[in-house]
Amino acid sequence: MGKSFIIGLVVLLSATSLLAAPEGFNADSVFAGAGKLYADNSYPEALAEYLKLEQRGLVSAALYYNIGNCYYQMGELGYAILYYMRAQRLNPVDEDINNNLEFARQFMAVSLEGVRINPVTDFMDAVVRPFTLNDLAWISSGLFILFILLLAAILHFRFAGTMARLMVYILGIILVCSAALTTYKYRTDYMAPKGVIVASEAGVYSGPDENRELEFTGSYGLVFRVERQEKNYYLVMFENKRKGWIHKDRVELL
Amino acid sequence: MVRRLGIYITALVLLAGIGAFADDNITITMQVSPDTIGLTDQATLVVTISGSRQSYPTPSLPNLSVFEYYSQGTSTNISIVNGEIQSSLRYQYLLAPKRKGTFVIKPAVIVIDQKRYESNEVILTVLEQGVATPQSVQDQARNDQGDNRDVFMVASVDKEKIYVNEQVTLSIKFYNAVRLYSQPSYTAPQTTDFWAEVLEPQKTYYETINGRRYKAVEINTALFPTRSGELTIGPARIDVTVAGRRDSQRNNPFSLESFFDRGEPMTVRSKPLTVEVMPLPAEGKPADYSGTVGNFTIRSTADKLSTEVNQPITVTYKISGTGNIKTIAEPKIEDLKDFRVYRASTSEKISKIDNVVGGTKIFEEVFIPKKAGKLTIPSVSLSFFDPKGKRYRTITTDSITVNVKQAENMEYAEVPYQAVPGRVINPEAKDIRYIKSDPGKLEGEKALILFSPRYLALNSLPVIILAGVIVMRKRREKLAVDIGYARSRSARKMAQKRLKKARKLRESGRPDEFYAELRQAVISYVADKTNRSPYGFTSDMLMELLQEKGAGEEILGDLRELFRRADFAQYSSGADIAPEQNTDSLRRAENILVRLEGTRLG
Repeated sequence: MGKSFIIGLVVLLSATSLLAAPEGFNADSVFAGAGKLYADNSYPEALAEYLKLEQRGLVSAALYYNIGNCYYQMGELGYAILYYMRAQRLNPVDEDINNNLEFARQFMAVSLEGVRINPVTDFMDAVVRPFTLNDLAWISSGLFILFILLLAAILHFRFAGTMARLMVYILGIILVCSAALTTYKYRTDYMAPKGVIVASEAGVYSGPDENRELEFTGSYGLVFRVERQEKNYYLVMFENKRKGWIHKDRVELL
Repeated sequence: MVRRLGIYITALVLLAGIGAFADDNITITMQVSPDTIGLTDQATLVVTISGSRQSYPTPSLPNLSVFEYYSQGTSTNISIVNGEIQSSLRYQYLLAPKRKGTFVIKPAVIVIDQKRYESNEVILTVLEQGVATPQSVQDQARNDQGDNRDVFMVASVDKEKIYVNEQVTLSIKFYNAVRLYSQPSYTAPQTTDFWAEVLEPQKTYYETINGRRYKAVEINTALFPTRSGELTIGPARIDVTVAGRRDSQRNNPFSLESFFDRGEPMTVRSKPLTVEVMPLPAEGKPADYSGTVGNFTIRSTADKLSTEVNQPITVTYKISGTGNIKTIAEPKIEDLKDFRVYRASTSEKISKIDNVVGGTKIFEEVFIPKKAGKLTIPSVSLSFFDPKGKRYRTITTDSITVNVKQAENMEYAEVPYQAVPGRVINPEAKDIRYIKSDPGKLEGEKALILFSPRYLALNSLPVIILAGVIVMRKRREKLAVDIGYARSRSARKMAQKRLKKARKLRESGRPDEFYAELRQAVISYVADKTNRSPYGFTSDMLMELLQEKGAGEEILGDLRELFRRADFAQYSSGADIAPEQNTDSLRRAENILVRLEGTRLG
């Protein structure tokens, strides 16, 4: 039985059970039930239960993480990596999520060549990695309010000492750094949609058509940024700046 | 510039890396074309070295004493496929025979890291008159008047009846017997129903046709038909500018006419060709046949035969042979109860030896044992159609038995980290971590706070506060330095104080002082508002000023009455003034001040 068939069956099962769901839907009991199925090695059934929650618009880092585990156990590494990344976006500091994501990535069939090492962006990545964009936005906002209130206090109470000036400078520099990191996080993770190849093979073409020249063949787990969309294809850019058109059916957006 | 420098440095690093893996896949081949020539003709000898090295030594040529030979240069080609670097170096020589005969050209040799690599031998036959040119080529060399053409092109195929996905070699030969004024621009023929692979190198040699000596450029292409039926290969085309047609120009390149000759643009086309493509027979077709045509071998190797539970074993399936390598599908591995299976990588290397396309395709699969014991990785099979034998064949690998031990003192065996650039994993990691039992806060997906109204409002608030503080500070500074402004701002307050004091005086029964305070309240108010000294600012001066400023008659009337009562109280000590009048005077004073607020005094 093909893996895609199993996945299709899982989605169908979860969709039908969703329609037949009783009025008193209890998300926590569904989550716990799925955990028991997982413990019994019934991964497709556990996945179907978890997907029920997702289809109801409920999300959490733990839910995405568990879905990723189900896909991993079913050998669907592309989907596993996708869900671990979704979980990581909600909770970047969770060790389990980070571990499983990196673990699944070990088995990626294709690694990108020519990914340029940029110490500045690497450093910024390392700094912003533990934070969600909302975290950074709140931190920047707090610093901004503090900075403005400090300025207001200095103006109002006529603090003119060295300490007051030093505090303004230090807080100002921290604020600028925080705003820069928030902007960086927004630009890298949210401005252009990110996606992951979920199919075991995905042709990357020179145009939005399968008859165009095949630039290279990507595989599950490769992350890209979507630049635009045409027909059933996305124009994507991979981490090594290589661009190409890829069919929508082969990928999932984060 | 920086980007190019980066590419350059990357290339250097990659090339340096090639050197570190010397002697990997080094092959040396030799080709001669044509293999039969006349004594006055020339043949091309090509020596190609390929492998994964940065550089190669110059090959030692065999004894070529029966030929005059000239180097036609070298060319290098580097390609990177799936992270593997392949480079090839091609040496091309022109051979002019000194005598007739059949000559075996011994292998060319290179020595790399004290290891000797030999090419194949080739045989070149030299005839007195050269090989007879096919009649069809002789015909195409003649124009309608029966003269030999200056330039022409001939297309041919090595087989006219083939199976679907079997190789047919298309040969396009461009002949020219005159000087070319431009680089020929070649347009390849339409081969819509074929998958095409250009066979390099392009060959150049001389050939005598109908008694005229032509320079021939031969381009070969391997074609693999994708469907059955009568398939057409379209005409190839070359656009070129040749020397003018007058004999004087052609024969004497130093003539004045030749000097000003811009040449004559020409387009030459080959004739379209038809190939009959037979469908693959239905009889004897294996169930797992996936369309591969050619002749292949398959071999499987495991990187280790003894391991621990959850420790990966990489099995490499290497398929080699002749045929369209790209159409070979991944070996089908059934779901295994003892292993989790992941595909690690696929790579292919296409070879084109003696105009036959073939090569090697490698699939790597990762098997992760789920339990301990003697476990068997089953054999896989590959089915293909052999066009020479005209039958299907199925070849299989051997099954691989691995000895899997339970990891000592561990629930899971340690999985060594396989480097994916930029990824770091805890080396203690053994398998994925278990699912979470706590769902966390299951809720609808949170929107980004960054552009939400409440976030913008929250950040606007301190800005508003700061603006307020700045305004206050400006006002304070003005109050400090501008006495007139300060007096004007405090006039009302001071007047209110005086009225309050007057109220107390009225209640304590001191009308003279009460009226003096009322008068002073009004006068001081106007003095403050107009930044004058209240001393010496009399009631008459005040009335005059208010008239100037355009105060209403009602205010002036009330003021006159208030000042009159004040004068009366001052001179009569207020003894005869009724208390109601005092109250009325206080109210008048208050009204006056209110109305003066609305009068522009400054």
